[in-house]
Amino acid sequence: MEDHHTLTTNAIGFCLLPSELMQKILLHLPLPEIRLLGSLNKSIRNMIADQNFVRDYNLQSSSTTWLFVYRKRWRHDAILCYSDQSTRWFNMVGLTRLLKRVIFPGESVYFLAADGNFFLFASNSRQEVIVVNSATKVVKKIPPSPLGPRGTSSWRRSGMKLVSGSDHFRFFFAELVDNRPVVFFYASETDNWRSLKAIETSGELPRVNRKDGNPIFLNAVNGPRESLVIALGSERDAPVILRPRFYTGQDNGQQLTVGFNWENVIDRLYVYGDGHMVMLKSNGVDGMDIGVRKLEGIELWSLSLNGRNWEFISKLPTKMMEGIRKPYQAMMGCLEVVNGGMIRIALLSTFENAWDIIWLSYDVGRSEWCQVPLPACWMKGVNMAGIAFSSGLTM
Amino acid sequence: MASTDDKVILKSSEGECFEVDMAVASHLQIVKSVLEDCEGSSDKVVSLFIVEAKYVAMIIEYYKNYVELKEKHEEGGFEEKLKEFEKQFLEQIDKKELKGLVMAVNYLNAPALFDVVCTAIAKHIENKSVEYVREYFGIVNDFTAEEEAQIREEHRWAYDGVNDD
Repeated sequence: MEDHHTLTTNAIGFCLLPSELMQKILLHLPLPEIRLLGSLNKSIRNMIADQNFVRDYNLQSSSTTWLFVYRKRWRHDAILCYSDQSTRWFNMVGLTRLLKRVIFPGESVYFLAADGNFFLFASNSRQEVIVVNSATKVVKKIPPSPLGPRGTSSWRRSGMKLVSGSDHFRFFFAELVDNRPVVFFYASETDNWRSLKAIETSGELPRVNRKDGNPIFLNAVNGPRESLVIALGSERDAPVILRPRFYTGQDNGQQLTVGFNWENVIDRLYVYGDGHMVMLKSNGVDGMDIGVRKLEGIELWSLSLNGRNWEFISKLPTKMMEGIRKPYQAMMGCLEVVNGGMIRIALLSTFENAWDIIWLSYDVGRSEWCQVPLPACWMKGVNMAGIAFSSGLTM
Repeated sequence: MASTDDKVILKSSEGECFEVDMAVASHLQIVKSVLEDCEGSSDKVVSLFIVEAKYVAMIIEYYKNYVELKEKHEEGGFEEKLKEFEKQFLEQIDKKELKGLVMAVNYLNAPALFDVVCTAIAKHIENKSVEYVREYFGIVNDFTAEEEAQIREEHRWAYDGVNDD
């Protein structure tokens, strides 16, 4: 704002940019900023509402990743979002207001997942799942799954997946029923649930009938030595059971998980998602409470091609690790693979009543780690009720 | 490297002349097509009627570095080096000049630089108030007070900034 006065005095000499140039410039801004600039003048407002502009924006929006967190604070619940293209957090006030239409004041709600314009919440009090479409401003409760109503603690992030198209979405989750893994999925266009029993396999991944060519991976059981992952190739074929193990034999000289030791298992946290896993290694901190730990290493692993092992991919470089070695008391996170080649990891940690968020990404093609710097966003004395990545937030 | 035959003269709106390697000038689509149109002519002067000398100089500087870096980092690493250079390049340019530059680059049809400048302008107006952006672009507000209030309210309905405490 410091340029205010000089700008005023010079304003007359300014050439106005032609509208196609304004259009090109605005396309570089994050969605909330574009909306705000609709109040510049009539012609810009019309330009932003124009079909061509909307189409161009929506086309490129698929490459923008958003991180959403549900911040709970007495009477000030908020969905905050930040994109890798922006420089500040936004409060999705509209989304919170839509949500408030279907919940009662004080109702305990948890943010489950997001994809495109769809946001999924679970109400603990009523054991229901609520979906909000941020583009059409429609909010709706979805009928209970065949397993009946579920409390928020039954939902595990790595066991569910929201996949959206432009108008509809599918919500998948995996659960053990009588010790057999089953995939349940809800289709918004039919407003119905279906279930698919997973089958054992001789080591082949299912045939894939999805746009991105990858199966949906849902974790049914996460164990330190072995997980039970279900791979779903299409909605017609039975999903396949995978039991990836950690290869505990010789390392073949590879420098990975040095000092890996099952007695120390408490020092490792795992975040799973989309057939991948990050292992967070931490140690106690001298002179601090027993509950305080400090991150020492972050490793990325993925399912092997036949789904039988977890395979080491990469370790966060020491230099980047130095920047995030902060003490914490509790940590959670989420991991998503975007467009097959980009792995996004968000780690949410708390220390002395304040939250910290770390956003890391790993580019598989370039074997490159990157940290997306996040500005502060009022994280003291609040609760966090869910975190998710999403691409393709459209106008 | 280019011989003297591979040079072209770019003439700014004030009539100032810049001698430029063809390898550099060929990134400006307009120059390329003008030269193609008068192929065979010994006169290699292209008049850029509406582009001021200071912008011609900026554009030449950008593409000169672009070409050099591309040659030097043929094996890889070009994109990173270019990014580094672009950062320095933009630091020297006044925020007001960015607007003149984007018009010039658009006129000359130089896609790589066009994208760089559009991004820089977007970064500059991001996070600024509507009043600031209006002044920056010289946009006259033609909404009535009621209309504007309503639009602001609609926007606030969807998104709001987040302040740190």
